[in-house]
Amino acid sequence: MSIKKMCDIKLVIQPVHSVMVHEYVFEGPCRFGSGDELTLEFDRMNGAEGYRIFKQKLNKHLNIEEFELLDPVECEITEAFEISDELMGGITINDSKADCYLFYSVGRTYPIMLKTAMKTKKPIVLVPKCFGSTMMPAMLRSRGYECVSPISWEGMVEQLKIHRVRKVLKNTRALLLNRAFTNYAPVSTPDGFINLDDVTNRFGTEFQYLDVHEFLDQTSPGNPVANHTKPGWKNLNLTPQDMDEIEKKADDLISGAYECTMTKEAVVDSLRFYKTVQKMLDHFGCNVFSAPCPEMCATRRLNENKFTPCMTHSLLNGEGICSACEYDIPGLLTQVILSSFAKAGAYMGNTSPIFYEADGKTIIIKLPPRLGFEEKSLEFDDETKKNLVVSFHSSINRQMKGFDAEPMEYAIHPYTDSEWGVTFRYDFAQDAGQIITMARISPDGKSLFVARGKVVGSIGHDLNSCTQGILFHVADLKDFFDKQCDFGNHLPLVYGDCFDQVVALGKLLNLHVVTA
Amino acid sequence: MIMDIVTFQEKLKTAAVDSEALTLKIKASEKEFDTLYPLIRQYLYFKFMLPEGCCASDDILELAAASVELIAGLKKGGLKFEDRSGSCGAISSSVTKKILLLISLQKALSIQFSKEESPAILTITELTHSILRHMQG
Repeated sequence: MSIKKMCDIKLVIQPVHSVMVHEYVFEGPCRFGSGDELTLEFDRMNGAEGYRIFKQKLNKHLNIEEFELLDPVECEITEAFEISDELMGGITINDSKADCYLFYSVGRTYPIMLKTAMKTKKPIVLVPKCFGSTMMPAMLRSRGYECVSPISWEGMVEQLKIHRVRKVLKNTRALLLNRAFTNYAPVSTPDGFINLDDVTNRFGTEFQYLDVHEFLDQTSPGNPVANHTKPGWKNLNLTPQDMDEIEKKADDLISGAYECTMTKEAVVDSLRFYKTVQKMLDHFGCNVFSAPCPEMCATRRLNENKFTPCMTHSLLNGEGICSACEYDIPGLLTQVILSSFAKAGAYMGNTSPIFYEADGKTIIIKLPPRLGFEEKSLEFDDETKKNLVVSFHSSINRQMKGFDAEPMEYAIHPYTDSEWGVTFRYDFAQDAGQIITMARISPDGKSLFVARGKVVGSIGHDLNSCTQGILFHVADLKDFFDKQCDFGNHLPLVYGDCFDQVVALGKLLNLHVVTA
Repeated sequence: MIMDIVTFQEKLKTAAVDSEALTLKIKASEKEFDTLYPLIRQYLYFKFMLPEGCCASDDILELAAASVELIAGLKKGGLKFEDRSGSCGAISSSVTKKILLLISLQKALSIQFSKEESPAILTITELTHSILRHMQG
């Protein structure tokens, strides 16, 4: 099995060219003309001209990487308006592949669209056309069928991109490490989803669980049938070939960093975690990942192994495989959404508004002293302090400026004071002014928070531990905070403005969309 | 400069007579591209009621658009005439004109363009080649 990344998931579009022709020569209230214009021959030639134009438009507008265009199918009805099984069979010949049906209609072919929606339950997409553009969606939507009715081809592309991301969510299969969660909510992310069955029903996302201890046993290059948790099983422990690969990757990562304060041995240890996750993703056919850091930490086996998941998140997110800290599944799905729109790796951290006392110096909601934020804050002018948010305790990834962009520079610093657990660091101050989009799905899976921000600066990029953070401005801090309280701590973010797209997706998913 | 309505109506009558005479010429002509092309071009000008020398393009839809433009100007003057375009389900006035031209040629020359062939004919050159193929059997 191989990992199917979200960027490989395309919206498969079945174009349908439907034509109405008249077998008889006559005029009436819905047909007028004279001479040859009233002939079957004219109608068919007219339809053929429409088909030519349709193919040109498809090629011009929809030939982009997010979409797969199936070969167009043609169909014809007469003034008898009869729809045969044969006709429907032709239209739906590729139904197992198609995600939606794009209709270009010449004449009144509406019954075909309705029948297609009834038969396939898939969205009908309309080419903009006078009166059809309002009549068809009303006909279909009132019957419970989806209809995309754009005002232009460009608008159609935008709407179909939203549908593609819905498909990405449906094709997301999360590998989740788990262990002995406490009572009703995990310690890792108590603001996580309440019920994953509901999440699967709503988003289509599937979940694959793997016991933390079974996973950790496989991070060592020992005898694969001698693991303590699954003795006698052919486990997927790291092989000598895996270890060779890890050694090489460690060299590459160290040489690629502008600064590395860790030993190669420590980098190799962290890469054992990463490589094992890769193998498990591949084995289980999963394409996103999360692990419960605190629960895993409490086993003390991370300490034994001298690794944390941080670098794994960094590397996977940069590779287009979303990976969330602390078993944050709402955050993970939000990363999938943001990364899909931005075509870039998402960042995730503890997101906290910075409120000051009346003196303008004392921070009301305290941050961990390790961050050194209070000291740094003294340098800020009033304008910087206004509407300021910090998102820290995070893993940056090197493709935040785009999967196809040059990787961002990075430093390697340890997470622990004992100097193990690789973390990547980045100075966000160099991107001051960059627009960001952030979002989060609510714990009940019914609402979506979406916000814009603008990068202000960085914290912790030159330190160790959980200090790496990004500072940014939002439109209205109090409003932002009040709304965030209904959603939770981690607010995944991406570079770029995809606010409108995320909002549109929320509406498509029937979520209550909250914006700030 | 748009011609006046009386002139246009006279030209319309003349064009009908001339295009019929031209049909005989086309049928009798040598089945060679160089001979046929100017005749087909002239036939199109008659049918589209384009004044001689207007619009040098080889593109049928461009010529049809020029024709629509000319007629639109005349319509403002209150002209009503038979060979208008504007069927409700049609793609555009220009495309309608092209289709009517092809149907007219089919009848005049007793040929039949196939469903795939007609939308692929975009220029007078392509039209001439297509007619040649049909006339040569």
